[in-house]
Amino acid sequence: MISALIFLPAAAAIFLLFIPEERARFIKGFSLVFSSLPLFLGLWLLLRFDPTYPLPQFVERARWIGSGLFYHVGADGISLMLLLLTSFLSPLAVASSFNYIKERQKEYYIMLLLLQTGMAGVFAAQNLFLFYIFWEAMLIPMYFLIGIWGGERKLYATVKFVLYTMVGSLLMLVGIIYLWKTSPDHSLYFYNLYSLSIPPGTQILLFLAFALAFAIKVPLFPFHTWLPDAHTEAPTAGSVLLAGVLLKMGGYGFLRLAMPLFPYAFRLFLPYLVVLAIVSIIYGAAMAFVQEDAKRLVAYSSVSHLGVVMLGIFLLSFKSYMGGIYQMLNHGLSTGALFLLIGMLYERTHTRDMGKLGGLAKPLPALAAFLSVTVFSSIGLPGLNGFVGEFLVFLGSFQVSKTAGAFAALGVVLSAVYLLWMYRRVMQGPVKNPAYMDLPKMNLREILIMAPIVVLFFWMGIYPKFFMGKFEKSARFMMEITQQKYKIVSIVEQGGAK
Amino acid sequence: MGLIPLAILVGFAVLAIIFDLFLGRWWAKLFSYLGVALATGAEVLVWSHRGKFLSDLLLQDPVGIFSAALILIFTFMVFLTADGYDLKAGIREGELYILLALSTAGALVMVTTRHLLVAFLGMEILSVANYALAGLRRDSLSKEASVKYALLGVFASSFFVLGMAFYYRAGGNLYIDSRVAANPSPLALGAGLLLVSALMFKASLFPFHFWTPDVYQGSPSPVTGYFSVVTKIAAFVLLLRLSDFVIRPEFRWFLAASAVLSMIYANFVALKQTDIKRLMAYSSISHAGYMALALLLGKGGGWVLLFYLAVYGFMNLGAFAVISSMAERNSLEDYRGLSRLNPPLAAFLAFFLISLAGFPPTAGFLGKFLLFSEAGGAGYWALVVVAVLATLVSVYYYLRVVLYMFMKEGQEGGFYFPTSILSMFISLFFVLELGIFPYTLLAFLKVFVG
Repeated sequence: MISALIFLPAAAAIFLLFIPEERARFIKGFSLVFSSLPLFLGLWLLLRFDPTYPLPQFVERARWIGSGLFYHVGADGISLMLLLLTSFLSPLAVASSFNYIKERQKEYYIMLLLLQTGMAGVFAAQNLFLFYIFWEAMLIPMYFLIGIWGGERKLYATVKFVLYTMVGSLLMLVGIIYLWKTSPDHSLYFYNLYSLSIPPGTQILLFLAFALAFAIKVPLFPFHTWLPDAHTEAPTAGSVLLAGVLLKMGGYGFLRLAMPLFPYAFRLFLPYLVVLAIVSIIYGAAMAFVQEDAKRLVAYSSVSHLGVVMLGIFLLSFKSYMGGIYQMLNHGLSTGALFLLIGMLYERTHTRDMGKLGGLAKPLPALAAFLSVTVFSSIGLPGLNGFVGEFLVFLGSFQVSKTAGAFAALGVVLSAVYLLWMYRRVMQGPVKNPAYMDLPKMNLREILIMAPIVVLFFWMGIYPKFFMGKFEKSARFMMEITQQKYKIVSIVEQGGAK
Repeated sequence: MGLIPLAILVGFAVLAIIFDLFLGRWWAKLFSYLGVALATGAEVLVWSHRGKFLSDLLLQDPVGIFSAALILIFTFMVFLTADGYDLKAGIREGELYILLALSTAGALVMVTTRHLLVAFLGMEILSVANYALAGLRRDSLSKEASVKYALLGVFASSFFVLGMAFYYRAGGNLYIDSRVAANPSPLALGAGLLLVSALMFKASLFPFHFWTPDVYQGSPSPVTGYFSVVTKIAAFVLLLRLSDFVIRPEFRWFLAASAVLSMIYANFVALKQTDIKRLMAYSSISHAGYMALALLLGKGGGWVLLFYLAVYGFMNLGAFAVISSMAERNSLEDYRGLSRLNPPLAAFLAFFLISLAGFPPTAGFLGKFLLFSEAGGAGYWALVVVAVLATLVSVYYYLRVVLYMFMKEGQEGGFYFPTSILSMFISLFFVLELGIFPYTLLAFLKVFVG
């Protein structure tokens, strides 16, 4: 089931190879259908999911390469939520590209579908080898998406994106190899690795290798410099998935791998990591203030928001941990929505320069309404989803450290300022360019893209228990492994094909 | 029995020469194809008759049979690639196929013996045919390639001969065995140094790599593909047979240093290349560096070395099938916008380069993963870190070619017809097969090569 969720898009991509490029309508429809199917599979899994069980469910395992390298996927609560996020945003990204991408459409949708497979695989993988395969395989479609359909500085942005990510992940590969070679049963199954006792010196090296890979992906200051370029130059769908899903992989990697695998090293580096998260919050916000390009502004806001997420996860109080995970989902939705809206604006005005925009609420009332809701969600207005996650992070942070909590709160205040300011400059005031008065209104497709996101904003804001209940047990379990409350006994990974 | 594949190959090559003289080129081609195909079949049959032949001069053991089969399959793919190429470049077909078949015979001899003199014969058959192959294009670059290859190759051969002399003095015969390798006398040490250096030349390992870029650039593209794969397999398998020497403490650091420098030097120099064949030459040096890691493991690294050689052969020949289709328009500028001009060709090359760079789920990734983990498992963690960082550098230049093909606007140009779509498909199939479902091959290699 989970395998189908992962590989359906890739199968569709391979099928698309044999469709002639001229049949653009078919290609679009086909991609939309096959990128949405995983969402239905995911919802079905959600119905069958047992929230009281902390370990992965729906496990699928098969003999693969031998010597402990299995094909092994499954989902615990955290993974399931992130899988759903991926499956939810991907079809929206496909649908948002129908008008935006006019050239080389077939290749474009092939790359989007492959990317979806890679992203889902990262969250579903249950052993390090498989995790790394999806983690790396995902880079290639993203490389093409930014490099072919990106903006003016696309070549620079895409090479920078790939190289930055590779620096981290290749050192992580050495770490993975080390774990594989030194673990007693040559198993890379996550829950077996948690039970390893790795000597402190080794832990430090391994933690640095893993943490670098994830810190680049999150991104934490000072490893964030690829992000504004990649986000700004990527086509809308690319930015949506980058911000919505790819950045979550960094956070997911920390909480699933770097922290529980190397708890000693994590404790050792905790102060530095917290400082980096706080610097990311402030720095991202400060940079967002001075951007003229709306997309770049949102990119820097991501740095700031992810700082809050990471702060919550690092501090390891249950509230902040839950808040951090919840905030990952929120950020995926709200920043994804921001990029979608900016993409829609750009399709109409062909500029993202906020100095040239202004007063667009008049010609585009629906878009303005959506943008306002999204901005409110992003800055954490009570009643919307962002509030719940951020509030939990503050609560948890204050319990651990008043300073950290204060800085996290400062980040939210700042984000309110620059996002509202962006809204004002784009939507309010006099219409700067008379030509903008005749801009086409939002069409039905665009409204249908935005509507489900807005519904989720409210749902996640008003009744968060529905979502939190699903991953509460898993989150507590992961957190306690990290805190070494108890050592889990090695769960032997069996080789039986299923 | 053990001689049959070789006899078939050489016999058909001789027939090809005769028919080429009297009845025309088409026959030469036919007989060369037939020879390689039948020899592959014979090699499979030999499997059930493994053992020593010709009073121990020939050795059909699992390593030998597997690598011989690989060599024959790769030669067949080079034939397929050369099929459309020779018409365009005005090369005499007959010569190309006959020389390739003879060179392959030399490679077969090299991998199925443990007698140094026989190995030397094989090496010379391979090399002399290769010198001629390099010059087939008959323009100045090709001539330079041929002369350079021959002159430097003779050095390597003389190293090998001198090494044999020392070896004979130290061991009393020319069979490769561990007793001589364990012999602490300077004579045995000198023998090992000379033999290993000569083979490092053939494998284009630093510091014996200097011929590689020029020869690769000047030779006809399918032949370059052949050099980069078949010669490398023959050299590495012979190095594997000499592994008792290689893992002597005196050599270990030498080989380790050579591996590190091959990886670092080649990958950094490749960054600046604007000619795709030169770029592939440096890529081949760097891959030799990765493979040298397996040699450090001694006999125990045999399975991973052979696996990597198979993977490397398929991905590299796939890339060269595309490069051959470009009819010697080898500047990166010629690849600009290729994805618009000829999408399948660009997609194929991109795929093989991505595999060479080591991205999953291609075989290039799995090969590197297994190679690096074996090296790490043996304690060479520092080398693994260097190798991984070298890989990072290589990602840049492999992806640069992809960038030219896919992300830069193309100029005016014609549509290139792929010379051998079949060869590309074979490569594609195996690069995916070995990357995603490698279990059978790995199990086979682990059981029989160990």
